[in-house]
Amino acid sequence: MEISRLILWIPLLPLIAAGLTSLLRRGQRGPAAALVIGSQAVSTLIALYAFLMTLRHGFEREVFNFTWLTFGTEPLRLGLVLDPLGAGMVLMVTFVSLLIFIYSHGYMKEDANYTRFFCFLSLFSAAMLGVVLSNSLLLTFICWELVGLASYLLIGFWFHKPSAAAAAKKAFITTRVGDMGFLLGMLWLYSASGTLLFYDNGAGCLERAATDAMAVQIGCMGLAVSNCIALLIFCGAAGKSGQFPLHVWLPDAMEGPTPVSALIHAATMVAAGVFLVARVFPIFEAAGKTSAALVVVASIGAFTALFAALIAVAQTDIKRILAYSTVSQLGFMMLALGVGSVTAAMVHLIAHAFFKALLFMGAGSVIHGVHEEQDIRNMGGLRKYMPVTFITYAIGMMALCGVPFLFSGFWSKDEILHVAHGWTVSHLPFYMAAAAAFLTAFYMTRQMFYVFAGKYRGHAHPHESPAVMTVPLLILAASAILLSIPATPAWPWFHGYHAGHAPALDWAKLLEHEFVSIAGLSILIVTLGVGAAWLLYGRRQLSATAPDALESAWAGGFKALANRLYIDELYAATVVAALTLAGSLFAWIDRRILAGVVSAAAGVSVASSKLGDLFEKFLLNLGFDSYCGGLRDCGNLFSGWESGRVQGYLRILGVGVVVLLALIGWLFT
Amino acid sequence: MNDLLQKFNALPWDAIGQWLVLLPAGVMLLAAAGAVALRNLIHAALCLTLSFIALGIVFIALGAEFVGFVQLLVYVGAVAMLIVFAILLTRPSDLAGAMSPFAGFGPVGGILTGAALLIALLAFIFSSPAAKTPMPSMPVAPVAQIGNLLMLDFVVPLQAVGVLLTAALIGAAVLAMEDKKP
Amino acid sequence: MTLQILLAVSAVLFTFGLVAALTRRNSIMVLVGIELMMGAANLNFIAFWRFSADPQALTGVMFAIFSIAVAAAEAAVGLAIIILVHRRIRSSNVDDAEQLKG
Repeated sequence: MEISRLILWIPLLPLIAAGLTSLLRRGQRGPAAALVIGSQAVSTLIALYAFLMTLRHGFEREVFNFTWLTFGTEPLRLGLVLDPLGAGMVLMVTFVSLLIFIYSHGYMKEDANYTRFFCFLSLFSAAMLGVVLSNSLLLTFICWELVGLASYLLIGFWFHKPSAAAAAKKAFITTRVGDMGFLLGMLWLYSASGTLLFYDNGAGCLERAATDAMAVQIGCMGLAVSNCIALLIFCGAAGKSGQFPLHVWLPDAMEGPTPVSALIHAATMVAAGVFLVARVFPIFEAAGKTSAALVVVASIGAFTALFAALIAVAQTDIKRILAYSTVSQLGFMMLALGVGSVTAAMVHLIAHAFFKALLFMGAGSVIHGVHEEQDIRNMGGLRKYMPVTFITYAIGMMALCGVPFLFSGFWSKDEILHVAHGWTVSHLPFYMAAAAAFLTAFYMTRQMFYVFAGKYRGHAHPHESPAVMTVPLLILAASAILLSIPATPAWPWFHGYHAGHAPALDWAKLLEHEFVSIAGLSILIVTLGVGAAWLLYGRRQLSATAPDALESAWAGGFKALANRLYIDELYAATVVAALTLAGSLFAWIDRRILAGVVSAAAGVSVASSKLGDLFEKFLLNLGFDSYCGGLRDCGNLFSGWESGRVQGYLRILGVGVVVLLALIGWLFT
Repeated sequence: MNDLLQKFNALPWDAIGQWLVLLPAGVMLLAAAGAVALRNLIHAALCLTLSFIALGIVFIALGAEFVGFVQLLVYVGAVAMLIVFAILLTRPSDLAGAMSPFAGFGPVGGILTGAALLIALLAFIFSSPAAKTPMPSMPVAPVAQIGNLLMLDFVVPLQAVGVLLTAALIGAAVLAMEDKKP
Repeated sequence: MTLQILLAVSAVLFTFGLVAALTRRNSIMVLVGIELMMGAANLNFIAFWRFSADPQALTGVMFAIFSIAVAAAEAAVGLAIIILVHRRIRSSNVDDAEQLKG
C-alpha cells in the first residue's frame, strides 16, 4: 500500500478500538485491554514503518488529500501528511502511548470502570494522532477538540469526586478560551489564503505562495496578516500547552489517574500546542525571522518557564511538582520556537515526552506503593522499599535537570539555551531560561530528597510495584538515555533529519567555542541547583510537620509560591465572578421578564377563555334557554287552547265560514 | 181510466205544482227541527227519517225522480236504519234523557253561529240577481239517459265511487270487529 | 216559485244541521246533523239544475247521485267509528273524547 494511504490507519485503528470498546460491558476487561493495546501496538508498527520510510534519501513529504464536503462549488478538502516533523512525533506518540496503556493495565486493575478508561484512552490516542498527521487546519481543529474532550473525560474519570469534576471542567473551559483564538485564526487564514490544507502541490496555506501573500497584507493593529493569524493560532497552542495565562488548568488536571497525567499532561496533549506552532511555523516566520508573532511566542515561553519553575519550588504534592515542571518545560519549547529553531523545540519535546512520562509513571508507582498518599512530606526513604522505581525516577530526574552528557535532557535543553543566546532581538529570554534551568534542578532535587532519601515518615507499608508497572518504567528510562545519542551536536541527526539531509558525525563540533561556553554554563547551573537543594534538604532530617527550609528563610515569598502566586484566585475574582454575574443577570431576565411575558400571554389566553366561558354561560346559554323557554310557553299557551272537543273546533269553523262569506259579500258587491 | 187521466192532466198543475214542492219542504223542515231538538234519541232518529222522506218527495216534485228514489232508497233505507241501529248499540249506561241533550259548551254558541250563517246565506240569496230567474218548464230526466251518462261520461267517477264504497264497507267491517284478545 | 225560495229552504235545513252538529252531546246526533247538511247540499244541486239553462245535460242530477253515494259511505264509516269509540270509552258523549286536549 502507498505510504500516504497507510498513514490513514495510524489514527483510525485506535478510533475503531475506542468505538468497539464503548460497546463492551463493564466486566469485559480482557477484550477491552486486548482491543486497545492491540490496536495501539499495530499503530506503533505502522508509525515505525512510516518513520523508516521518511529516512530515505530525498524524502520531502507525502500528502494524501481528499474532499470531505462540497458547498455548492466550493469543495472542503481534508488530508494527511507525512513529513520528518510529523514522523518523529507520531512514532513518539504511539510508542509512549503503548507503554502507558500497558502500565494502565496494572495501575487501574482495582478500578471498577476499567473498560471505560481504556475506551477513553483509545479515543484520546486516535485524536492525538489525527492532530499530528493532519494536513488541514480544519482536521487539526477537529482532532484538537476531540483531544480536549478526551482530556476532559479522562481528568474527570473519577467524576464522583467533586474536585475531579471541577478540574475537568476547568481544563476544558480554559483550553476552550484558547481555542476561540484558534478558531478565529483558522477562519482568517481561510479567508486570506482560500484553503486550509497545509501542503497541496503549491496551493497549500503553508506554501510559499500563500505565506508571501499573507506577509505583505496588513491586518489589524499594524501587524501583517500572517502575524495576526499566527498570534490567534498561538492562543490555542498556549491554552493546550499551558502557557501563561492559560496555565491554570494543568496542575488541577492531576486529579485524574496517574496514567492520564503521564500520557496527556506530560507526553502528548500538552505537546500538541508546541507541535501546532511547529507545524504552522511558515506562517509565523512569513513576515521575517524575528516577526512580531515569534517575539510574542518567545516572550511568553520564557516567562512561563520561569514563572512555573518558581511555583514548583514551593509545592508539596508529588504530582503537582511534576505538573508545574511540565508547564515550565513547555515554556522552554515555546521559547525555542520563538527564537526560530523548530528543531530544538522538537528535540526537547520528544526527549521531554519520554522522561516526563517516566517521571509521572514513577510518581504513580510511588503513590501506588505508599497506598495513595500524595504529599511528599509524608513520604521518605522509599529508595529502600522501591529500588526499581527509585533508579528509574532518578534517571528521569537527571534527564529533566539536564545532568550532562549521558541524558537526552541535557543536550536538548542545551540546544535551546544555545539558540536563545543567539537571538538577535534580546538576551532577556536567555537569562530567564537559565534561571528556570537552575530552579528546575533545585526543585527536582528537593523532591528527590523528600521522597526517596531519609527515613519513611508515613503510616502505610510501602512496597515495590508489580512488573506490569515497572517494566515500562525501565523501557522509558532506557529511552531517556539512548535518546541522548541522536541529540548531540556531534551528530546533529535531528537537524539533518528535519532539514532533509543526512547528518555527519563530527566530533569537532563538540569543541566549538560557542558550544563549550553554553554547555559549561548549563553544567554550572545544574550543579548550583543540585548543590543548593542538597544544602537545604539533604543535610538535615526532613520532617512531615516542620516548615520547609525555604519557608523559614523567606516565609512570605514561600507562602505566595505555595499558593501558586494567587493566579487562580485572581481569575476567580475577576473572570469567573463577571461571568457568574452575567449568568445570574440573564437567569433573572429569563425567569422574571421572559417567563413573565410567557405567563402574561398564558394569562391572557386563560382570561379570554374564562371570558368566553362567561359569555357562553350567560349570554348564549341563558339567551338560548330563555328563547327556548319562551317558545315552550308559547306552545303551552297555544296548546292550552286545544280543548280536544270537536264541537269547539266546528264552532270556530262555522264562525270562520261566516266571516268568509261576509268578506266575499263585501268584496264582490 | 182515461177520464181520470184527463182530469189529472187538466188540473191546474202550474198553480198546485208549486205547493207540491213547498209542502213537503215544510214537512222536511219541521222534521229536521225535531231531529235536532228532541231529547230522546230514537225519536230524533225517526224525525230524521221523516225528514229524509220529505226531501225525497221534494226531489221527485222538482223533476229529478231518479234522485228522489235514490234518496229514499239510500238515505231512508240505509243511513237512517244505520243510525237507529247505532243508537241502539250505543245505549248510554245511565237513563236516556237524564242529562241535557246539549254538549258541554251549551247550545248558545252553536245557535248563534247557525243564526249568523243563516243570516249571511239569506242575505246572499235574496240579494243575488241570478236567483230571481223564473221557473222554467219541467225538465225531463229519463233514467236511460242517466244510465248512459253514468256509463259513458261519468264512468270514472262511477268506478271511483265503487271503490270508495268497497273501501268503506271493508273499513267499517274491520273497525267494528270485536278485538281478538290474545 | 223562484229559485230563491228553494235556496232559502236549503239554507234553513243546512242551518239546522249545523246547529245539531255544534250543540248536541251525543256523537250520533252530530252525525245526524252532518247528514242533514249533506241533504241540504243535495237540495241545492237539484234546485240549481231545475232552474239551469241546460237541464238536458243532467249535471245536477249526476252530482246529486254521487253525493248521495258518498254520504252513505261516510255515514257507514262514521257510525263504525262511533261504535268503536263507544267500546273504548264506554260513552257516546262527545265531551268524553277529548284525548287531543292540550
